[in-house]
Amino acid sequence: MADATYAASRPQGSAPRRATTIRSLLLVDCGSAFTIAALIGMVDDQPRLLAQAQRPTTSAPPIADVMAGARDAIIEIERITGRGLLRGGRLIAPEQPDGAGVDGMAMVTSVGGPLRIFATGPGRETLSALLYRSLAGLFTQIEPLPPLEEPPYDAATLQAIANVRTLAPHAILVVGPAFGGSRGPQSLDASARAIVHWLQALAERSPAETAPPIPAPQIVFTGQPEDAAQLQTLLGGQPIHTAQALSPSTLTPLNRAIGPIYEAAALHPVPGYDRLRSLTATPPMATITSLGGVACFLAQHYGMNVVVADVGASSTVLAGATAQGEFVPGSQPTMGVGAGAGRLLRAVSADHIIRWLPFALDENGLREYALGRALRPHTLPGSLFELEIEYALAREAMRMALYAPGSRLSGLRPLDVALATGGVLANTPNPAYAAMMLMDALHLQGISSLAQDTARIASLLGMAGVVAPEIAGHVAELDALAMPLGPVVTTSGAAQPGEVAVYATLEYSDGRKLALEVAQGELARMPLGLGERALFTLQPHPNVDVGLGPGQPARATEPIEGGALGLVIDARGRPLPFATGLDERIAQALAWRAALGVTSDDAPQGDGR
Amino acid sequence: MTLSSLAYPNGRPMVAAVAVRRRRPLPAGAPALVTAGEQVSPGQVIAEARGESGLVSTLAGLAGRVTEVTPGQSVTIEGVATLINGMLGIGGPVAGPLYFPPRGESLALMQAPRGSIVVFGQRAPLTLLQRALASGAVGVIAASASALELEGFARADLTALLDGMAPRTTPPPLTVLLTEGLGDTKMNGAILRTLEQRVNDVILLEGQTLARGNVRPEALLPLPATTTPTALPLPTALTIGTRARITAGSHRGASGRIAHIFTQARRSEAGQWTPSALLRMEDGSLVVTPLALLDNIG
Repeated sequence: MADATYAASRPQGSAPRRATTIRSLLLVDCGSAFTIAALIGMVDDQPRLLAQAQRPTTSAPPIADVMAGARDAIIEIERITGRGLLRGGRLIAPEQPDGAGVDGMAMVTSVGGPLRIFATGPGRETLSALLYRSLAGLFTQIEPLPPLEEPPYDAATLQAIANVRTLAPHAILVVGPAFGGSRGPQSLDASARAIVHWLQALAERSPAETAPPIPAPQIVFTGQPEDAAQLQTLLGGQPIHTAQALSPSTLTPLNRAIGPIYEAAALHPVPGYDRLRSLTATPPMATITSLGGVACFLAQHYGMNVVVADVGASSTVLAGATAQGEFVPGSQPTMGVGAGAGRLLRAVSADHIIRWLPFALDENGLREYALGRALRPHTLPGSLFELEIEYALAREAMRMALYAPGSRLSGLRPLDVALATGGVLANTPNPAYAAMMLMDALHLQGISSLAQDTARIASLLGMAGVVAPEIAGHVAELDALAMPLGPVVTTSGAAQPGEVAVYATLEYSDGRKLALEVAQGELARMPLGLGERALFTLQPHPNVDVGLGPGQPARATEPIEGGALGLVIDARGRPLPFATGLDERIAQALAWRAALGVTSDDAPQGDGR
Repeated sequence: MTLSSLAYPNGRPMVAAVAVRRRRPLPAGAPALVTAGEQVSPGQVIAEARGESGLVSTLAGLAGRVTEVTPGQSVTIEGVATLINGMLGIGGPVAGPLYFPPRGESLALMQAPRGSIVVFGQRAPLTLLQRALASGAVGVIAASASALELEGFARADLTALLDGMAPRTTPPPLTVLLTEGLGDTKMNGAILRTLEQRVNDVILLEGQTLARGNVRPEALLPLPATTTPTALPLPTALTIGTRARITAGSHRGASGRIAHIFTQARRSEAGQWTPSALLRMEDGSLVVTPLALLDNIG
């Protein structure tokens, strides 16, 4: 039995909190495009996912009320389970003797977008690595604050001001000089002057402007106390949040100073948020933070390095964690396959996206699809062609997250477990698509296990872990890893094309043996079904590494368990050797799909148009 | 199981009669020729300014009452109009009479009346946009357009425009509204018929489109002030009997009426399991389609 105890979450104005035992939880993930509700309850005295429902997020006209979309998702859960959860717009809590209601509710969200922080100050460049590490796990978009002098402004500066106004910064972060280090090219004086000019420029409105004024950004300073006092004086006494100076051992203070601004600045302005928030006493968590909790739990539970990948409409998150439980995120808060597709297109060349497609598509076709998705964030791919374009965008979004500023995820070795979650990666027509996206986008090397969160609840479980840790742990293990895709061997180094890169054998628990030669450049798989176990050996080519060094053989001492795809051997080499001609590239992409069992029913045929 | 159609800010691409209040920016420093409380007609000149190409007139664009005049800056008018929301547009507010290029005439030779708004019920080729600009039209309403051609014409990156990063120095040369968006789709028949009925009428066109906040371009076709407006927003739910249009996949652009909504998810054309509906198409055939691919067209 895995009960947990916590102070029951209750709507404001209701009876005082009392300690209770949690046996049921309602989880809500209010994303930028879709809202997911999930109900956790007891099945044979084990906490399990009972039902999950997804509805469009309603944050803009014609329904500018996020509570409406969340209510629709909860009502769908009520329909599926026959269990009443809402009464008069309030959550029924705790769980009633007749089975209605739940003992608690937890919420994660990315609906308001990231906390937009413009960074400046003498230590911004020298301390940027520490800055990103400090804010890892928060849903933030960090941009450099451009320099700004006194008016009058030239056309380029006016354009820069217009662009910053469009982004509507929530906070300006001043990074003080590094302790004992150089005070950098930009002094605190210059930073303060620029901030004053920016605050004036952001507050100014031409009479013709119809858009509502943007709230003044909050000022946050990280650095030495004397510098904080100097900054406050230079800013004319303007209130500033201060945090201890950044150093490898003091990353938390800045994180704690920025964290509370997120809900106030990014979430409260979202229409209907306050009503949704009133359903639970526990503050919501940003989706990336929640995913980080799940990654850390799984990493510690299995004693392995883990990454959880979630490509959304507006943002992309890779939540990595080491076996020791260290959170190693990589995220692109404004790049995704929906509203974030535009920013992705601006960051990645069309060729890089088109190279993943098993059909011909020109840049115009790509832009038309991506812009259409940005304008219709609630829609889905309408055909296999569109699905492939979406998955190509997803691959590049993940690669951008992997190598995002401050991300250390590309150096996480070995990457033992990769979990695909979210609407794009977890709702694939064939599990091979999810595996291919992970294999193509992540920097896998050696032996990894892939899994797909077909229930799409991983993003909720980090927050659930705060409310009811044991329940969250059970559900993460039993339901979020519901679809093991199988082990994957990824080779590095290179034999000559056509030479055998790996000679693999499987010895099944019933005594059967199977051997396979995989040539350099090929993708292959060996049968090893769900629940089936086998010992494997890998004998690589002298120039090929399967994770233990070039030419070093690998032999499992414990049987490995199969998955939906069996044992996958990826001997394509890294970087992936894309064919150069169009016909060859299409044939190559189709061959890779066929190798993983994507049939002609699942793969688009012919021309993309 | 119910889902909503959320692509358009008013729940539908077209609303027959809606009460509107719009601010008409005036050319810098131009004196207003109307006063607050005055009734105006769509073609009435509300301000004039001398520009590089001669006298520039600002038309009211709406039939209704002037509610506010900010000298040298703007005139605010409220009235009743048929509202058409497009999927994508560029450019600021303009007013002018609707003009349909003669059928059969080469677009390369099109000569739109100066100050007019050209209507084209199909994918607008670059030639149409260029000819409209060259002949002095102020706007274009078309069904769809190529992304790269529209970007080339507007000299702007549409991904940046949709994120609100409009270049300040090079505004789009024309205001454009695409009813169906990018690609190659014909105009919704009901919208095209409505526009055809208003040929030569002065309308108000606004091209601004933002992904954030679901801001869509709009065409306002003025109606007499006595017209009873519809309350907004309209119901958005996709329920049995709703007229709907398919927005993607092999049936893109086709419309029909929802005959059944499945209680369990169905496998889509893209292979994904998703809430779906059975649509009885206008030709009587039945099509199963994801609810997420349907626009409620009323």
